[in-house]
Amino acid sequence: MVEVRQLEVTYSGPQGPVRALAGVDFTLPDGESCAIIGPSGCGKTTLLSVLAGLVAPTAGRAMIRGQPVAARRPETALILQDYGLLPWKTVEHNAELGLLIRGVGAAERRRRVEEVLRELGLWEFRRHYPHQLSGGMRQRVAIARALTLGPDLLLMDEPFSSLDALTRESLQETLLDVWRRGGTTLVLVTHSIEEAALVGRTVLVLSERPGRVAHRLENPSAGRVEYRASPHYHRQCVRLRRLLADGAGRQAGPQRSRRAAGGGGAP
Amino acid sequence: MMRSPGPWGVVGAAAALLVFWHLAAVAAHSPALPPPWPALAAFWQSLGRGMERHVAVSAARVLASLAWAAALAVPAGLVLGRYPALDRWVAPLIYLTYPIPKVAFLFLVIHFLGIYNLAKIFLIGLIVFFQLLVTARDAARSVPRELLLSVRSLGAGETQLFRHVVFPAALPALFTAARIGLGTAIAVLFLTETFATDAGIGYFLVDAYSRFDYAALFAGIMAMSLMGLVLYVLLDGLEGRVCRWRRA
Repeated sequence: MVEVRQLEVTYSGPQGPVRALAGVDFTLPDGESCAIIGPSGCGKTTLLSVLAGLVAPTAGRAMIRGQPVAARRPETALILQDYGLLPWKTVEHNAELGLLIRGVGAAERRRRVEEVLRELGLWEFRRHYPHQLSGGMRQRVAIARALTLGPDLLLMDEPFSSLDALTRESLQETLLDVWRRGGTTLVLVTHSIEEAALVGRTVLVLSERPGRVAHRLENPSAGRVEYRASPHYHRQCVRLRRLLADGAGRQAGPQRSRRAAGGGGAP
Repeated sequence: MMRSPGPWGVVGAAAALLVFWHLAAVAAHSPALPPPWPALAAFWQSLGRGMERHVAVSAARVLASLAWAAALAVPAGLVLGRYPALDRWVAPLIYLTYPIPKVAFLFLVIHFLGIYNLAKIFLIGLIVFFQLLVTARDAARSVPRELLLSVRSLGAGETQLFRHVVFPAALPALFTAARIGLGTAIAVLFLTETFATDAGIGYFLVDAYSRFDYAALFAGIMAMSLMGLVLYVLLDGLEGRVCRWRRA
């Protein structure tokens, strides 16, 4: 379970302290998927960095499975927009990096890397370097690298935003395939309404900076096969678009977000 | 990335140089600048009469100097680049000592290390050391933050960040520094071989000059140039092996 309580983050910018997050609250049961959306600069990425243990909360707390977030929680995997692949390592060496760092033996590394690379359709490309691959393939490698670790929490920061529409859809399907197998909680930061509605069984709409949860949209059909083609999905997109236009402009207090959570969507 | 010159490139460049040399010699019309052919003949004759030994000794001195300089400068520079707080204290020290012509300390080096190989290797390495140190520091500083972040999120500690990210990221810049350093090293090598030795191309040159044997002098210069070429090809070959991703 991911539990975030009254989370505040203030960091020092060039013009003095910047309040990125001001009292973010939410919980997410194990195995759920959650999309976080909001206007640019609302602190989405900061929130994800806190969950990844890369940024320490200024106040409040973030807990994963009852433990305060720590920098090297081995079961958490992070996937960034720019892939974060090492240019000097081949696909297979990039994919095994997390295992190598964790001291997993060579035979076990090979076994798990082969399994994941085959699953993601990367096995034929295992000796390629990242710059020899397309953006979509690179992001696939980044996903593979995360999956070799068998994570129970997968954090993604706008992972598909630089990809073309078809590649993006195919990667979203890959991601949901992985998620549907169970055992993985998914937290995805995105600026795409369509992506948030497709992936997040819970969608958190953050307010303008300093960010807090302005709305919470329950979206229980997300992640199902063929959800993308259903009319319900399109209605959820419309609903989310309204929430975003409504909540992002103003400061929404905790009362408002409770109402949104209870009502399950649009006013 | 620099690629090693192909054999035809080398032949072409050598031919161009010989033509230029010939024209210069004709224009100068002086015994101090003989045309290429007598010098080439002298070079040919010197083979099998000690030239190989001179070249081998010189190359060994240069390589030993580069090796110790790199072994110290690269780790030190990478650490300085990673820790700006430390660099703030060390950078003034570097900037104060870097511009000093290290050759000015020749008498000190000789005083403490004697006049033989150790002194020469120390002095050559000292000069290359600074070039590598500054490059390594700047390269470590400019490692993309996202790469560090993403590898740290995989659970990497500082040592692993150095091994998987900082060091490989700095390698191309380090090879460039080594190429520049190699040129400097050969230049300083000549100076250190003008005293207290009976081997090395520098010695060969001074000896030829003292006998006013200009053809031999130019034979020595050719040998030095060829040694440099071989060392550069070796360095490029090493870079190609180590930085394979840049060729792919």
